[in-house]
Amino acid sequence: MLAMLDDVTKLYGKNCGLSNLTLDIPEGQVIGLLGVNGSGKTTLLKLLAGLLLPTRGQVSVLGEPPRRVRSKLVFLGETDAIYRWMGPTDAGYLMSGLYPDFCPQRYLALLDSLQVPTRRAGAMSKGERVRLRLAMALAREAALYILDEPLGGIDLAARERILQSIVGQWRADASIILSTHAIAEAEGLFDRVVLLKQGSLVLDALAEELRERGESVKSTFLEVLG
Amino acid sequence: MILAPALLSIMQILLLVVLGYAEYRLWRGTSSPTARILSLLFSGTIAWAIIRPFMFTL
Amino acid sequence: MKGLHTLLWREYRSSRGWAIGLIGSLGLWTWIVSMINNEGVENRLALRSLIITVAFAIGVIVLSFMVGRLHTEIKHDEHRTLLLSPIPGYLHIVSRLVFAVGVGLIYAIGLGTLTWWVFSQAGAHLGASSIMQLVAAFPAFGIVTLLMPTLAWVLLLVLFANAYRLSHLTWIAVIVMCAGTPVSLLYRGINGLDHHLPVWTTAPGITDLFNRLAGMPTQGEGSMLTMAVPGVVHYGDIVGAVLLTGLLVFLAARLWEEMEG
Repeated sequence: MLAMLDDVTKLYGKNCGLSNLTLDIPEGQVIGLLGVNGSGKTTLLKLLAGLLLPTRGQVSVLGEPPRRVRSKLVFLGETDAIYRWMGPTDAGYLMSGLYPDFCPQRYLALLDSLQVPTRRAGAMSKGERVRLRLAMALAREAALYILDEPLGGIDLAARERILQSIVGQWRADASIILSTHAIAEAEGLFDRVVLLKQGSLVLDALAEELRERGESVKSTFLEVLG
Repeated sequence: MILAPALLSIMQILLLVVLGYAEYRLWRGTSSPTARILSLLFSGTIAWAIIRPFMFTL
Repeated sequence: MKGLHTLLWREYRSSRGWAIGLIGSLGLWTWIVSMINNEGVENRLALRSLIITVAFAIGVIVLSFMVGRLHTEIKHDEHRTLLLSPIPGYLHIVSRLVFAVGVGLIYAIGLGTLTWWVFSQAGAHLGASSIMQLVAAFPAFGIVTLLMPTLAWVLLLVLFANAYRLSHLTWIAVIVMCAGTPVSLLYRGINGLDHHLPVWTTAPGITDLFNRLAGMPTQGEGSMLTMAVPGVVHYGDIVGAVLLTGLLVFLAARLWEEMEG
């Protein structure tokens, strides 16, 4: 098992971010993490990345606490920002110095396929910055890619390019867990769908099974949460 | 003559209560062990600074 | 070492505007000092020395704000690329400190050179070793004993406050640390450093110079035109400051490793 959350609860003071959640992530799976705003998606992803510690329960990646295996994880947060002085060349230099698994050739190919401009981040649009961050993240050869809303605030044409890049870089031994509100565009990508509601798991199903039942991920989402 | 040191003592006790509550909030407000130790160290030294003159008054 | 090299490069790219601004301000200080033409050599010397002291203090404050921008990086989640990397936490802290201390050293050497010029304008011709003391040893001493622990403390303050970001207790943490630090230093005797600062030993020299210029009797010997600036050999202070900085960096690195958010 690549990663595991075992009966995990995360409290923020008196507020509950995640409640008694158990989830296994095997190798080679693309997992769509769905839920309305405030359902606990970001909390779950941050717990997996080691950016948050569970109040109760255990989180492990490759059998270790996530903070010990940071070099095997890629986390792309929704609110992450890029230094405004940094252009794609600077970003590549920074990443290759910090992450031993960063692949410069793949990074250049991603910059090209995602059509990232060469100017500094401060002069880029929000969507261009997201694409640059995505190129930085996907150019690493990690075991688990944790992507929080990579399609947020992105126009339709760019969404397509981003999804193609995610599929294109995916390796059979790696897993991706991806949260998104753009269900219709992304559902073809998912092997498995996990639905959260108010910090609890309400659905964990293989996408193939849903399709066999003649249900789309979007209709299931609306049915379960609606 | 008697009232002055008594008032001072009440002020010191009030300060200690406020400090104790702040330390309680800080202890519960983080998951970082180092931050907990630091907050305890800083609160402890402030408490000692408050208590020391009080001890001389006694 | 590649990690430290990259982090130093990042710090340079991120803070070079501040560094160039601070080092460039030496031109402004030189201009201000040269504009002071009061009546009386001693008044002029005193005022010019005061301005140089203020310039050093401003430099320390500017560099504190420069390293304190880590708070903004964390607030905007810009630091995540660094935080999630496998580079150990202490290298992140050390790279910020090394860059700021390097800039501070250049600035302090500039101020030391300006001080030398001020002394020579006052008619005091220093020997080669005294010039080296003024231009190199004094600035280095000031940087090690004052700037280094101050910047390490600022980094610790930012990371300590950030440990309470999720629980919205940042301001309580800042108040407790700001109030607790002087008290901690008081009870640990670290503030005892200032009893041995070099100004103690330089004061008689300056007084002597004033007296000679005013035609009053002096305790010093030798030619009036030669003044030796006492040497900076306060190993205890230097070792104390380095150990204190090391402790602060260690704690800041632990907080970096344990950071949530």
